[in-house]
Amino acid sequence: MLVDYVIYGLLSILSALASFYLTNNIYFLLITFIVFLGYFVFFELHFKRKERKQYSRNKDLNIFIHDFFIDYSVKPNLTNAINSASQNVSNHLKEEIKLLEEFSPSEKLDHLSKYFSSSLYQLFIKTIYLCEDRHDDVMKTAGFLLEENEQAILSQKKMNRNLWRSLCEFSLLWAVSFIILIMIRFAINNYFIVISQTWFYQLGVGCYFLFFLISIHLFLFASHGSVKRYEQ
Amino acid sequence: MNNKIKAFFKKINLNYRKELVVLLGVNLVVIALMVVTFIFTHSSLIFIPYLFFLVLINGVCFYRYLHLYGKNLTNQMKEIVYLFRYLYLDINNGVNVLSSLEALKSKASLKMNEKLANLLNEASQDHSLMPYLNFAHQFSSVLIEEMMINLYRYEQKKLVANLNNFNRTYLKLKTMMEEDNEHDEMKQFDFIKSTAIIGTAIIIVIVIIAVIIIVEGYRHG
Repeated sequence: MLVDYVIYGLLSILSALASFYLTNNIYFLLITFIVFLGYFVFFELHFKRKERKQYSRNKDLNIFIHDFFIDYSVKPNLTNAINSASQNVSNHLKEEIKLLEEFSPSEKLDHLSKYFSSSLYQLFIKTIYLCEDRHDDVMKTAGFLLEENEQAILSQKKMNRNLWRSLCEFSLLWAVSFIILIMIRFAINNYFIVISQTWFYQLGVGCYFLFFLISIHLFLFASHGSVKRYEQ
Repeated sequence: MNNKIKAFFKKINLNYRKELVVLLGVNLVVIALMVVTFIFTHSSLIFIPYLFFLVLINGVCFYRYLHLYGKNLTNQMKEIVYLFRYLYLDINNGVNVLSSLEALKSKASLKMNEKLANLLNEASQDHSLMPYLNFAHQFSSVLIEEMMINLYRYEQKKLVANLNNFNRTYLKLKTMMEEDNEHDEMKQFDFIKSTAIIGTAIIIVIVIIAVIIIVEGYRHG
């Protein structure tokens, strides 16, 4: 979280300085700084918190399902399996399970569907019911679920790699765009004072930074959407 | 032609009249702003960004409609893959096909629920392949048709070969959807990355126009 504050703060400051350099107008610097910082603080950090929560729950779910069936396949006992599955999960989930102590194992699993609002968990519940109902080979019944779980883990890793790569490319392209801007600023240096006073130029630079902010928003929105899609 | 347009908007769950009013309204506002700015600035160059903006807005609107249509089709396919997970699990563990399809209704969206209800109604009266084919033809995929045919055959004969064919087709459809999802996401990010190039182009155009304004100013004293 601290890293996020630092990154967004730096981005706001750099954008503000760039806007001042391009317009020589202190009001531009202040407006750009306030708008960028406001966006990051009021929108982005809120979505980031939701994304982290979702990511953590996805991870918990994968571990829970995996550990549950390792125990359940040896001895089909729901209580032992739930206890075993609760060992390696996050503290948040451990506390959640602790709150459900007085419930029966099947009730606990049903209550946890509010924590894991995911279709993979619904599939897990269905598989348990089938196992309890049929008393068949557990690994045969749960085979599909375990494959889906594995696929979810691999998809998450792939998504992270793709996101990181996209972020690097996105940052690089905008960095090049800013470098081009600075070079143009140098190129028109002799006429800069005259040009920077035209309303058209000032409006244009304002539009450019607004476009930059919209572009950042689109990227962050798409990356949050990716995490949501991979909520399994 | 008008009916076709209305039917298209109905398919993408949008109100035709409302969209038309919004589109016309936005165009009129932009044109009004353009005229007002021209009256104040007396510069014909002002038309360039406004016309560009008009083309952009209308382009975005029409692209949105097409995008929604495509997304609607894709969402239906995704829902089938999501729902048939449960069907796959059930029938591979000995549950009856029609009972499994009935159980899917509680997990389906309203539209899908209707389609499933129609399938089950028709299947209870007509024990031929037709109800299954009618269901499959509502989706734009040959794999769904193949899946429903295998499902019907398994429901009738309970042969392992039919079940294996169903499994194979379902898993193929699932893999295809996952790859399409990944491809769509990367396409989305590719578009977003291209905004940096658009941004650079904008500022270059603005600087050029600013220089032209100054040169024009010098020429006219």
